[in-house]
Amino acid sequence: MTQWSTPPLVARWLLEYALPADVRESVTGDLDEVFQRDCRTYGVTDARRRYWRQAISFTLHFVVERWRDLRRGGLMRMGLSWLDFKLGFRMLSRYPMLTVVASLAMAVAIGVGAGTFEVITRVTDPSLPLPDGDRIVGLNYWDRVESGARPPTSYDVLTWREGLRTLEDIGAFRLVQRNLIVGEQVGEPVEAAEISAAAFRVTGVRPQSNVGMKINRIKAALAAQLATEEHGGL
Amino acid sequence: MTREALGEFEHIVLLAILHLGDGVYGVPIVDEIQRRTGRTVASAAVYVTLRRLEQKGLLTSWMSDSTPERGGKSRRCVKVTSAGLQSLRESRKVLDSMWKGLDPKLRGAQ
Repeated sequence: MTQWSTPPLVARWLLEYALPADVRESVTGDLDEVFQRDCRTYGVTDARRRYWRQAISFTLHFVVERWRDLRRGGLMRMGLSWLDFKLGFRMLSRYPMLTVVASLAMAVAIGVGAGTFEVITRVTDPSLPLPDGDRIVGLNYWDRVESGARPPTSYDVLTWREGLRTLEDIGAFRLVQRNLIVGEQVGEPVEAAEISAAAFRVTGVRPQSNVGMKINRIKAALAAQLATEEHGGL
Repeated sequence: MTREALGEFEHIVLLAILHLGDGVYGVPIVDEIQRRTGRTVASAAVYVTLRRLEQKGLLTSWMSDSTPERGGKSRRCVKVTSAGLQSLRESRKVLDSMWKGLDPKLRGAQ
């Protein structure tokens, strides 16, 4: 009866981990067979060293093979081959000036495209500098006879609030002039806005008392003024 | 030639299997290649090539019964398919046509 030696366990574990499932059993079996043969020929210590060498070699070979499979599969799904990339890189390295000019042209094109898109967005779909400012829209009446906007009345606002279902909330404001007095200084007229209670919800600014209230009023007034300039009303 | 050309090592592995006959497995294939070429080859390279040849349809394999001297594990036996034989024939044809007429030059170089 021949004595059966055990291969190094860590090397075996490495193989089990690295080998693909379809060849795992056959390869580890073959290596076990070679290990038993090496034990008889070279002795257990040498056989163990050889087994380790084989385990590392198999791990490296199959890891590389797996990576190749992945790369091949990924590129084929994109309709590309590895050769396309290789030829592309070769062209870029062979003609450095072409690479520089092409890179600059792409950078300029991307910059111009992004800038144009930003300008168009700001003109066609501006947003207010408020929380969820892009969700705030202006409502107004358009007088076709006079070809101009007609400021809505309080009654209009109430009618909209009753009838409109696509808007979450409706607030109203009107621009007024007030004297701003700070400390002992002589008051100076400033543009401000009187806003309805609902406008605080719309602008996301909480009403506060005393000094805070004044500051928030100024904030709301500024927001309202922006709304007037950009949307023609709130 | 529409079929993908065989690499040198693939060629060697297929020929080793043909020498050993159907139903051969990895260990004797490695030994046969080393014996015939006189080179030391990495066993892992042979197994990777076997797997690749099977994926290409040039080899077919099946698992044998498990044996106690292999820790109860089965052998993967392989056989060259008709597509594999065709590839070998085409590969040989190409090499023969490239070799034709070169003998005098090679003799002169010796």
